[in-house]
Amino acid sequence: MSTVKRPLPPLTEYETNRDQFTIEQLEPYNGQWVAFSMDGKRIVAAAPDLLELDQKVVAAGENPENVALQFIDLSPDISPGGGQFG
Amino acid sequence: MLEFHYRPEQVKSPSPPSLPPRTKFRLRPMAAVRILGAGGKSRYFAEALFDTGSVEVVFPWTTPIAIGAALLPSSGHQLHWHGTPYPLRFASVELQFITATASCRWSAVVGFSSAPLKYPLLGIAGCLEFFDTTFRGEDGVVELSPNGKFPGSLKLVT
Repeated sequence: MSTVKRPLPPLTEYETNRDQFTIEQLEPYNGQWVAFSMDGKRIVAAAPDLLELDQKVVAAGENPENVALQFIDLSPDISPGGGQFG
Repeated sequence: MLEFHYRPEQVKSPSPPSLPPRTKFRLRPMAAVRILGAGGKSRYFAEALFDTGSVEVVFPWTTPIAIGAALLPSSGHQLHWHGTPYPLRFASVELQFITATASCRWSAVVGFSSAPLKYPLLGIAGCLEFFDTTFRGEDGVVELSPNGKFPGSLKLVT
């Protein structure tokens, strides 16, 4: 078993900037899908579902393929992960 | 090799006994992933969950419409999410990971569900089966190395 400490990869630009958003800034978007700019610096649009979000992204003059989609959940329950498939 | 930092998720107060008191965030193994349809349209999800408990890759229900992916005929499969069954449909797509040092892209048949997923699930079939994966818990980093089953292309950033 290796005990050599391996270097950490750098955070991406998106991660670095996205992590700067405070809870207070995200609160208005709680429970919604949000389109962030690809650099993570700003919120382009938000909507309850992804189809409506696409429309809002286009209305904002942006390309839906060039935004980063993320669901905002500020009070998550403990998730067991995965799902049962049948 | 591709490396992804675990991503923070807020912890509902009070934090559970498994975490130190007053913990505000916990980290989960996630990756940004682009999903591409046959016509080249795509969507980029900033955080998809590496989920070894999920036998399938699952994206939100409306994704095929957005990327122009044709759903395969219904196979009658379902995703039971938090006790509720939801229909599961499949389509052939391409998936892409991009990091600062490498990118990879491969074809996969993945699922789409109307279950209220907060993030895509990167499960076994179509994703984790193609990688040897190390969860570096102390560092909060996931390492993925394409294995012999990996059907796509890997490019290193020089």
